[in-house]
Amino acid sequence: MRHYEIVMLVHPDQSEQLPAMIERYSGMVTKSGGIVHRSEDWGRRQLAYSIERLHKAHYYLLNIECGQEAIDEIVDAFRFNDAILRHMVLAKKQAETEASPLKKEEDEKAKKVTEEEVKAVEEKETAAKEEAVKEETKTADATEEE
Amino acid sequence: MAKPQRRRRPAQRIISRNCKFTAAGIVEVDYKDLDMLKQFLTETGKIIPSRITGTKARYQRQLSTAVKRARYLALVPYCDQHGK
Repeated sequence: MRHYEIVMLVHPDQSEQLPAMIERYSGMVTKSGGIVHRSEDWGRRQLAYSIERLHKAHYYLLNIECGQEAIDEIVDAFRFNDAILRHMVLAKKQAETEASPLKKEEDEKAKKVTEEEVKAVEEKETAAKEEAVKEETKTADATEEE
Repeated sequence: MAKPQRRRRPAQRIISRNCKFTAAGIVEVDYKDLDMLKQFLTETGKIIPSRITGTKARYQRQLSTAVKRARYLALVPYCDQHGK
């Protein structure tokens, strides 16, 4: 049993199938008596250069502990899966369980987006209120003039 | 007639004598830490030599493998000529 780190790039059009694929691969690991230590979705990322004329790909990271047969089986499955553009398998010395820097970045982005959305909604609300107040004063003025 | 000798340009990059990895107490340079890697790459995507960044030899070796891994995964470009 050894520790491995797998990164795979999935075709962005097939990223809906990703959860099923991950389930299948982690199933292969657990079936052979291995453990999945870390399973991270980095989401769709801009590629630094185009691969197969694509500019974006869905990244997924897996840290597993398994035997040689299981890892061979997984790599074979990668080869026959058209949705996987590229993959990298590294041998690691110990199990990695902490969130990777890329995942953290992704989470922060998501947080920022939600914060911005909240701000935008709040701003809209305040603007709407101000407008309502203005209209009220306008109508009041109009009535006074009459 | 001898050609007029051109003056050498002064070094544009500030030479640092401190290793960032030693200072940060990093065990192994991670190819996933893009903010860290990008500090050691030029605008054209080349790895900056350790004599300029001051990186310790051990970390410079780790850095080069980390950058190469990140390049393979299209996290970092190989050069600035992609898609031309």
